[in-house]
Amino acid sequence: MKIKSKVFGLTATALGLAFSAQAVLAECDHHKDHHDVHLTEHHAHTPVAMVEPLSDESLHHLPAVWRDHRNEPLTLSDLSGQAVIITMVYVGCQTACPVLVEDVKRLYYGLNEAEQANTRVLVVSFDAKGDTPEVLNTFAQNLGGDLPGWHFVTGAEGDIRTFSSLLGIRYRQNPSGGFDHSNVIAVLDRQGEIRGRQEGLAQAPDRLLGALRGALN
Amino acid sequence: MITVRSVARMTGGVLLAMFIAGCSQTPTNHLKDGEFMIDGKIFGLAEAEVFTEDYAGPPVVGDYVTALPFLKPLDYKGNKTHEVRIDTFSQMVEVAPGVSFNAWTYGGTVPGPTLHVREGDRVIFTMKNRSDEEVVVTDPVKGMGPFYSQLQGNLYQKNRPSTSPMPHSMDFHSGTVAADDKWRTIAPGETIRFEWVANYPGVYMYHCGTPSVLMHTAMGQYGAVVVSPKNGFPTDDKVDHEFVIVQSEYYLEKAGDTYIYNHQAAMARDPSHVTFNGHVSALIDSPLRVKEGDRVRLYVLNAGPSDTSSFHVIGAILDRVWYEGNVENEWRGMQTVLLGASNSAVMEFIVPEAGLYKLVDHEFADAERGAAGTMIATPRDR
Amino acid sequence: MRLHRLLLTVCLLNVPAWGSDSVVIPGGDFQPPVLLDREIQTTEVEAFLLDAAPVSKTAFAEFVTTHPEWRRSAAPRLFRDGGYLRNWTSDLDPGVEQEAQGTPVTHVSWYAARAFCHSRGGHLPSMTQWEYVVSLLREKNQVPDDEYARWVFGWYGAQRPVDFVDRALGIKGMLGLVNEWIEDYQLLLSNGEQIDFGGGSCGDTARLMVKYDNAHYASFLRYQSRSNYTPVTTTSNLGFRCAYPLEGAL
Repeated sequence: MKIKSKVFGLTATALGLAFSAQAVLAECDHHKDHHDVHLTEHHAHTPVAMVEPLSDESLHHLPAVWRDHRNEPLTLSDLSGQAVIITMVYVGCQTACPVLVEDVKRLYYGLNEAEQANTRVLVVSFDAKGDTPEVLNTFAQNLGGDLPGWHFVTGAEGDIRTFSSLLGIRYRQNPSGGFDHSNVIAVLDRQGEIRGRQEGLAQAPDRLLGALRGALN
Repeated sequence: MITVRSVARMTGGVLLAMFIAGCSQTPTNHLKDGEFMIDGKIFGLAEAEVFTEDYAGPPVVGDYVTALPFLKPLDYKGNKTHEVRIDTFSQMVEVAPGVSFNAWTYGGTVPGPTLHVREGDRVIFTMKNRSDEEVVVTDPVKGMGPFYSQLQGNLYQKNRPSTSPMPHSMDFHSGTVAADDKWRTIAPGETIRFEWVANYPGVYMYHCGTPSVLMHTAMGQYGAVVVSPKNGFPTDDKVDHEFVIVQSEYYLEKAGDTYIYNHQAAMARDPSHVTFNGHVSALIDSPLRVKEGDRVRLYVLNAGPSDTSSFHVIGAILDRVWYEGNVENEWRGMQTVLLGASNSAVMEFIVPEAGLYKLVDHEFADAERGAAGTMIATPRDR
Repeated sequence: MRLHRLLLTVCLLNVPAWGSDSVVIPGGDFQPPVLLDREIQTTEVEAFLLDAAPVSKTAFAEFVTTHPEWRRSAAPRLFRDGGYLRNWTSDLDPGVEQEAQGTPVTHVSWYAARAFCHSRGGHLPSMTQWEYVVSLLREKNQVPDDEYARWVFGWYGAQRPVDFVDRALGIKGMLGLVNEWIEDYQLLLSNGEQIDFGGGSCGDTARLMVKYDNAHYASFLRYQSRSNYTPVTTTSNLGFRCAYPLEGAL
């Protein structure tokens, strides 16, 4: 059988790194004079005041601006100071994605209330075109994920690919329009570094729970 | 630092001494946190770690890691944990007079170094993918094990550094693990570290499992691990000499003034060269030297990648053969031993009299392409 | 000619920096040499613009001058490994005095390559776009399949440069000059319910091949090797070129 599918060139989006001035200065003092040169309209985002310099491996370096299911903008550095549970799904996904969200819930509810208060949940969609904030809102409500500190987010295609690559998540749009993807749940610590990562569905939460507690303490 | 690819399972450093179930052995096998034991064998090892390191030291490290045809005797009792490093990188190697190619190697030679351990030993293995680095193996190295002095004592492959950045992996047939974890592919510049336990005795192949596995092995990425049985072979105290022989094929074609891999020939199983220990003259220019009446033990691995070997010693009969190197698989009085790709055997014979003995692959098309070696026997004291 | 008019428009508008150094790749059908799905796919590729040559060291030096966050002393390890621009003599100096102008930049991570293309108003070519161009080069220059396979195996096996001049599209490189980053370089092959992230493990490649001839094996080797990079990987022979949407030029 021959299937014809249309493939456009991938539309690249804001990928230039927009570091905060503090981060650049921490890396290299002699860039003082240039620290705002790169803040062009391409990667404009809410500037974040950071107390500590970013570590080399912090995902808070990522400048992408996401939009969550409440239609609020969000950047990773907004989550600074809190542990983060991350997974990637898409709404049209019937099998794996609801399980992934269930796995995240199980992990989240494994924490006590004080720990939950310091933990955010980020569910990033693969489907930049289909999963609008409204679609994500319904999805979140249906799965019981519309909780305080939980964000089902969408973003630009290029940012989604950057984000997935940082977490070692592979995905690809298949000819029927869905997404083939790896099933990963990751945990970030308060500084934005990956502290735990799990592949596969419906796994015992113990290991990630341990990583999460380590990240919180 | 934990990266995306290396979330190591925390073991907590707790070691539990465990007695082997249903057996009066000494308590030599230790379970680490998260591991389990079935039939005295250890499974469920910690996840591999993949990371980057600035290591630029000797690419081969290990007290029981040797250059062919040598095997380091196990001079310790019971079990031991071996810390072994074998980095992977490119090297120009000669496989026949005037025929050199840019090989993908473990440790800079084809075949790679031989590791010797005992059944029940644990190996903590580290490998850096240095394929984008010119690694010199001809400079003197001290205190890293016997490999370098043996290699540099007989540089029959005329090893010279080269680069060809490629992803690579390491698959030890001697290990019982989840291949998608431990044998995973790493990019140039990455390092992988994992453990395996020598649960079963044998003579095992190791090789690169990265697709095309045919190309990666034909390019030179293989070698031997000898896991000696925990109670030894019945003839251990009678053996006078031990040698390791690895047979393998090359598929090369001339391109300019050098040689390159010919995938079409590899698919057609039409080798340009078939060698013992990586060079058509390896065991001819440097023959194995013994005395008449000696009991000689050969550890023979056919690394392939695709051909069989009918290993034969002209003028001798193999009076004991342990197929795959497992003491349970004993054969007697063999003229040849048929080895498929990645099959092996421990073979013993008595040297009948002084003289010259040829070791050959009795599939003569292979012998004619180089699968031959020499053993010289001098008279014994009478 | 249409192509000239296009490029002229580009120059007049004085939009991104690609201009006359890029080539219009005509649209067409493309059959990937690797089975990405259970069925053999034919994909329709839209026309696009592609850099005629890999990005040069000089061009990348200009980029890090205007984008200090991508200098080797500043770019965080999250986005590059320890080899990033390692062969440069300093933060801004690629040390090309001794080398010909236009020497491709190497030792760049995928993140850095993408940032560069973005700064030029473009993006890394998709796997489909990049491989489609290779198929066009072979077809339009009538490269015999076995010759192509020998180039690829010689290049990957021994970094043997490929002596090939494209007379059809005006493309330099792509085969045997440097390896090139693409946007979606990691393979993810689906076979029914099973998803295969490695793209075939040890010896397990037949089910991923459209045909079992030498040329298809050669192409598979490229897909597979590329797929095993990490996004922070940098090597001495890994560079990139950028693609641009055609509509952006009009």
